[in-house]
Amino acid sequence: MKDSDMDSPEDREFQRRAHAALRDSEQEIDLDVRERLSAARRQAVIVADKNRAADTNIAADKNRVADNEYTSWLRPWSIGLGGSAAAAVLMVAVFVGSGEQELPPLDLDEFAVAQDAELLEDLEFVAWMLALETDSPSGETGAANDSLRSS
Amino acid sequence: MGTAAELNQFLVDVEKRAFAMAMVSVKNKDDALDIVQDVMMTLARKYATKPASEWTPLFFRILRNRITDHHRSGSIKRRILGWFSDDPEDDIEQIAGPRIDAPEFQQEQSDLRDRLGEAIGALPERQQQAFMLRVWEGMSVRESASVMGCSEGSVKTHLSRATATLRSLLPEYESE
Repeated sequence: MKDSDMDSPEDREFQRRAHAALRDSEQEIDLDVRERLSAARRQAVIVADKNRAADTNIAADKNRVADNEYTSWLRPWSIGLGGSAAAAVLMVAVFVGSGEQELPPLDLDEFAVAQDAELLEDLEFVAWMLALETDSPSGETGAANDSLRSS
Repeated sequence: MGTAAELNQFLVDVEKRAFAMAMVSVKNKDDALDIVQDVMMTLARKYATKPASEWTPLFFRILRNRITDHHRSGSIKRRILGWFSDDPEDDIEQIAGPRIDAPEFQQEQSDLRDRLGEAIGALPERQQQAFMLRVWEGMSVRESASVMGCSEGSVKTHLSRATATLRSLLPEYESE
């Protein structure tokens, strides 16, 4: 209470006496209360110990995992295993990727439709050529050639 | 980090004082015990891994909070019960439990200490906290301010007012 600069010497003397009386009063607490306080204290210390142990275990587990992660990549055999795993992953990726780029196989109906489409395109071309020939008296295909040239 | 033995010793050192402080403030033995037990468990669960040097302010801050919570919940109970009672004074007596001047308690303590405890318990809450921390626990102004969550100037003001009130009520403690 050395820094109570608002208090007079009489105040400080009163506080000193009150302090002594209050500290004495702590010793007059009955046995039942003391026992209950002791029990509560023991319980609290057990809880603190359990928490400490749990914290220590968690920290140890984290360190162990971190150590394993760090050292596993430094071991020669693990580089071999890691390399093999990486190669396997790469192969699967290439296989799957190339499969995706291939066209899917056609069934017969779809194949027939495709053939028809090509045939139709050919027929349209032939019809267009015939039309040009019929339009031109000389039978030349100059208009067609012009149109092709302009395009 | 404090060890289990250090925590045990720390609690041995403060448990009776904490109970006596809670008793002065809440005036009921069971409530005071519940409060101190709760404070111990909270310290053990949350702050046992802190350095032992930090335990004292933490412990008394938790104690202050629990006592304040107790007063708040008590005042709410009194208000609610007051609405349904013809004589609210009776209910207040029942909720407050056995008073500090109950016969069985008087047998254990001197009249003078009883009166000191009662007088401290009758102080406004902040004055009571300042007096308990500064005079009873012997904390510095800075530590008390940290526990009370206020400025050092406020601690000094509260303590000065508390001392003036107590001196007027307890002339027996004046120097002869």
